[in-house]
Amino acid sequence: VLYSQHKPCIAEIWISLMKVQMGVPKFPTWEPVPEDQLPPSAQIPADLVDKLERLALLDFRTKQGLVCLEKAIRHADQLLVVDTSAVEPMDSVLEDRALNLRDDTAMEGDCAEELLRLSKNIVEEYFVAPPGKIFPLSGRFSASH
Amino acid sequence: MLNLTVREVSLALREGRISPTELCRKCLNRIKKTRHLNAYITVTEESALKQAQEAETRLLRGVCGPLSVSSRTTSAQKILRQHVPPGYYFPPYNATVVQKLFDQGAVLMGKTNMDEFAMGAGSTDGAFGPVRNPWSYATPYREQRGAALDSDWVIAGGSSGGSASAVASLTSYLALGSDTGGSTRNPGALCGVVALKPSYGLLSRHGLIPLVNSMDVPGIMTRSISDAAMVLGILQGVDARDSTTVRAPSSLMELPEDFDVKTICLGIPEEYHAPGLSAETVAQWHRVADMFEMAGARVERVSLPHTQYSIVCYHVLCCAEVASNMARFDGLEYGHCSAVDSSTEAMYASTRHEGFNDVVRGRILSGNYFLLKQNYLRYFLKAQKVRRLIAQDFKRVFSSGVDVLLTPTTLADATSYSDFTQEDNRTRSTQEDVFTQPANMAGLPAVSVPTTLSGRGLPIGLQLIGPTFQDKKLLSVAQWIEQRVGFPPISDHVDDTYMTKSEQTSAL
Repeated sequence: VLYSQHKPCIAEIWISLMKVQMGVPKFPTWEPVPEDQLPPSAQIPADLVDKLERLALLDFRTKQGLVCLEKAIRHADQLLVVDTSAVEPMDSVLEDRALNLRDDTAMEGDCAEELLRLSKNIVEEYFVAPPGKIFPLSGRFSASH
Repeated sequence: MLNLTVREVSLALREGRISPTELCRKCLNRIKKTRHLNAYITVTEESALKQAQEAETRLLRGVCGPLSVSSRTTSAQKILRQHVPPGYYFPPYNATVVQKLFDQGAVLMGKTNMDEFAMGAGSTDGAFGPVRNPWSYATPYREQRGAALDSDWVIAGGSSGGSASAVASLTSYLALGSDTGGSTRNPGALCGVVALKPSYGLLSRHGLIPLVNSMDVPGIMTRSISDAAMVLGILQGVDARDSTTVRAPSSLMELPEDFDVKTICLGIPEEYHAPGLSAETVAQWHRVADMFEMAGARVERVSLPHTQYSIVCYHVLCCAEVASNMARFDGLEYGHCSAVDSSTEAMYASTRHEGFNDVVRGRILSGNYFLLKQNYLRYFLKAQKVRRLIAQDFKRVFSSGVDVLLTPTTLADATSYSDFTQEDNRTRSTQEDVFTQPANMAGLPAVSVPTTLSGRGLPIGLQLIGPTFQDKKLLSVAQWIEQRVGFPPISDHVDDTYMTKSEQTSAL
């Protein structure tokens, strides 16, 4: 039978422990926030559905669209377990430096025709929109389920 | 000739071994041969040949820029005709980064495919159909898979998958993408090309349709680190049209050939061993970390404790900015416009209904929810606070003496299209962007370097993240890796029988 007669000394054990600590971790170091640590799931009442559709100028289209929103909110709920007391919100990664400003004057122009060509409905140099202030979305989706 | 790098092919052009027009035709032919990859949505054949001809005259006069005809810029659909869905849109101007390449004599081959408005991680959710990964048709993968050519191809990654596929399939020497949460590095890793996300503020975003303004940067894809550095040198710098651009710290981007890693401290962030990381990717991470150690670099395990919340934070900030940014697409001034004309609001709503896919619609609606007065503090401001914690994690590690961090780019090699589409877009983005979006959160430079082929015969990449505006040092370390890992070029493995077979199948 072949076996090692060598008994590792303390220094060697320490070195091998250090190696485990030092290199690439062998196992995953975290797991997603468990459901029981999250607050109760948000409910989305019918009037909120209408409001969101109006704000987004988009309809949920199907029940599936609403399920998708509920899942997105649940996903976001994981942030609520992070302690952010005394932390300032961060808008920009360039917050610590002065950025260039330029004079508030037009640098280029004379391209009205080119820009108007991108629109489907124009009259002379105007974009044309149908009559306004008539909201089409309210209740469309909520009525269908 | 097609498998060279930008530097190599530039030399070939200067020495007259090939003419710009010949080279351009070769690329166009290759694009035709690889059409099944769906990498391009528009091939600008006529203007490419014209630009090539102009390059010919320049060569004769001896004033050929370093890129000359060699860089086949696929100025992504993203950048010029940016992801505007079904409605047809001709951009009336060039993006600054595209114009800078034109000024160097680059020849534009076409516009590449992507996820709609860059919202995705697979290049599977676009208006022009999914992009295929060229390695699906290379020998290492095919030999294991046998004949079922049209059913088991793997995704290119995303959202700039068309750009990565174009560079990997040897139809273009260089491609631009965009990188908001990993959209350049993810497909770069899956398609086995170099993919650089520069520091936020180094490259102008003028002409790039915004996704998340505080994170968006143009991305660079090439076949070598030295090419990426050269292109970065050309593209960087202050642009009056983008107020977030800053002065570049160094003008020249020539990397040292014999970089001394003994002076380097490499950080291994332990949180980047995330649930779901494949054993093969862990092995590569190990292998490269060991290379550094053997070469005398200091390799240190470090902690970035808020890493796991980064992807959640990204999700909230992304939806919120998307809700605001997508408001401009109402059909009135450009893009698709619905035929419904009973009222302005009805026209807006039905234009947006017809124009946006489910993913875009979902993110707009979620964003509006997070921004509601009663949710603003709970979700939006909370996410902005968590963002600061994530940025501080990086700051702490870099100020403790770590020069650069080594991490995986993705959880695993590319998934087959049929498997990938089993899960919804949000779930996939959560999995795919887990290692890439923290660099966007903190505005740091990051690069994905291909390291090996997996057991399935598909590329695996590793990511390096550096301190802000130290892009050059980051690339020097990346080049050191590139010189040692021996990633096999795809040209060693392209078997035209598979390509031809695929063409026949597609033709049916």
